[in-house]
Amino acid sequence: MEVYELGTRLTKAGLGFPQYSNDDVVIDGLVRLGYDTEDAVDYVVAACWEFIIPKVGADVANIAALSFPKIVDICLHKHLLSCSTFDEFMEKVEEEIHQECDNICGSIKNLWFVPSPLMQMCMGEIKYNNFGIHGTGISTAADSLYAIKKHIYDEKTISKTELIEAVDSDFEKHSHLLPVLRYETEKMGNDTPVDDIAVTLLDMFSNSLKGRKNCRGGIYRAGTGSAMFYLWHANEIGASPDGRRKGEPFGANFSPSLFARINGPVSVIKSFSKPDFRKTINGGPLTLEFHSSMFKDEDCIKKVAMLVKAYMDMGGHQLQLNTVNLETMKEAQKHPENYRQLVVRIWGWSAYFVELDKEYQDHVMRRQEYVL
Amino acid sequence: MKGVIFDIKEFTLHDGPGVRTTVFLKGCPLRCIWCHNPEGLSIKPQLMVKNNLCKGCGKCFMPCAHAECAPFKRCVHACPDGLVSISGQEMTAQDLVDKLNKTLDFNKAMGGGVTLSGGEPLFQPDFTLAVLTLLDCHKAIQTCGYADPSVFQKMVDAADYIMMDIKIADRELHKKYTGVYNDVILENLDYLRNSGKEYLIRTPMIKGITDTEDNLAGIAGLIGDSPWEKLPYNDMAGAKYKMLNMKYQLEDLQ
Repeated sequence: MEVYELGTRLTKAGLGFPQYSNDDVVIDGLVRLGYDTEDAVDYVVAACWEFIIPKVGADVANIAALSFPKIVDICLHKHLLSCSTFDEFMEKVEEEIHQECDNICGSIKNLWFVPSPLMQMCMGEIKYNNFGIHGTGISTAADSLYAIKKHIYDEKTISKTELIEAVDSDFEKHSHLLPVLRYETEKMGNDTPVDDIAVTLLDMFSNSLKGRKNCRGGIYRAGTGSAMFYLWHANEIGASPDGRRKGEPFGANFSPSLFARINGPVSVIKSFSKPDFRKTINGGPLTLEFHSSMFKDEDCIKKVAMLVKAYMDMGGHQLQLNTVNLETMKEAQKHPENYRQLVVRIWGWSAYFVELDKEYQDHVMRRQEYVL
Repeated sequence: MKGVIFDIKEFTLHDGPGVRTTVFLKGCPLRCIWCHNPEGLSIKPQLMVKNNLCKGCGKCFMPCAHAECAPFKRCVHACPDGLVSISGQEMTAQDLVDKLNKTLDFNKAMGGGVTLSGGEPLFQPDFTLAVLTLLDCHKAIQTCGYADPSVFQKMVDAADYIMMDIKIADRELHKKYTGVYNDVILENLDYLRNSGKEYLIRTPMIKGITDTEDNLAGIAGLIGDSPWEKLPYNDMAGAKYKMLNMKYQLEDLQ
């Protein structure tokens, strides 16, 4: 508990550190992927949060990313009309995930490292040449699939063509569906059955990568992170069946969708601890934004520390906390010259707020903020 | 047994011991001019519109068939930006407790429980009592103390921890700023102090009204050696009045 409290004190400082990783999950997950136990226990995080092994690992942990919402988009257009049950539709989702993994893995070829004498001196004998694939937009995808399940298959209140037309027209057509899908359909993060769809998607992803060999003789690792793909992948598709408008970004890494109405941080950690993360151990943390008032006294620090510990006890893999203050960020956008020192956590790194591109600033400001 | 609530907040850190979930019940017998939960005053469901983000598309004014929208002549399911809502949800004590139970294991592990706040929980005494009876955890209430003594006593007996406001000591000033005399509040204070229950007296610090030397000395005289917390007042409190189309009286005074 003392370590968690010290960590929370660091979080309070507002630099977006530390990031927590759960040894019980990570080490076990790495061993299951074929890492020797003596190496797995030495894991560290690479640039952001990808798990790598110093000295003996030449893993490329952020080589590509799978967009879950793109899979849903493909299935919506290609398979929805022909699927008579939701289970049938989910079988198509699984096939498309497999197809997309084929494409991704097939495109990574002839990867050579530039010879580097210095690096060779630092490294020992290379035992691992694995590649990591991120999984982007998990909550957008799970929310979209849940909306399809609920409105089309269970309650039959929306027809298949209506939904496709609404999404394709960015909700210009059947505009009454937008508030229903966006605000009145359950979202991932409130400890509801939506979370189970996310669990299924992650399982499909890791199963699909299982057994594949990469061009350097290693394997592929599935992950829950997004890196910068939460903005890039969001622009590859139009609107989505969860009520997300065209051009709106996904949540960063492993987080609720930006417009989901969330009950609070307790529900979020319950939802986001449901998957078996030992199968998606390329990394990618749950990120929670707390208003700076959450850390105002010793008692609060203890309680926030307990929340962090609870996520780990529930089987969470990785967690990072941001101390934010929306009012401060708004002021910083208006008068950047006065806020040179303001630091925020982006996806796996922290940055000076005023030096960020506006779309990254806006994304941080739109994330779920938990206040007292 | 049905009640009306306007919010449930998870992971509250200042509403009693440990980590808690706080339920806000709608309806209050007082009309404190500084009230920062204006949607808690009336027990009736109210229309809440976040006008500052409204783009004026007019969709919420189109006729709809929803029964809940009828009293407001405005559809609460139509806004593409989710700005129109009803504050105040009717639910049974059992439904509320079922909902709270979903995260209660967590609160219990963190040495906490549930706090009933408002509005004024004693304004819906049967509902509050039903919820307190059904809940299996540490239970706290936040009350202004303005309730029939028999009601007050039942609640104190059913709860584990009572946070009671003593806002103004002087009888006439109490009437002026909260709308009621404090006689029954002081009678209830007496019961609370002798109840053997764990409790806390709280005073919101309103500039020039409750934070005066006279008032604080008066309250100190009334509560004796009771544990006492002076609550800092949030200046942002006025924002919600506009959304409810209500008037924020403290603003006029400042």
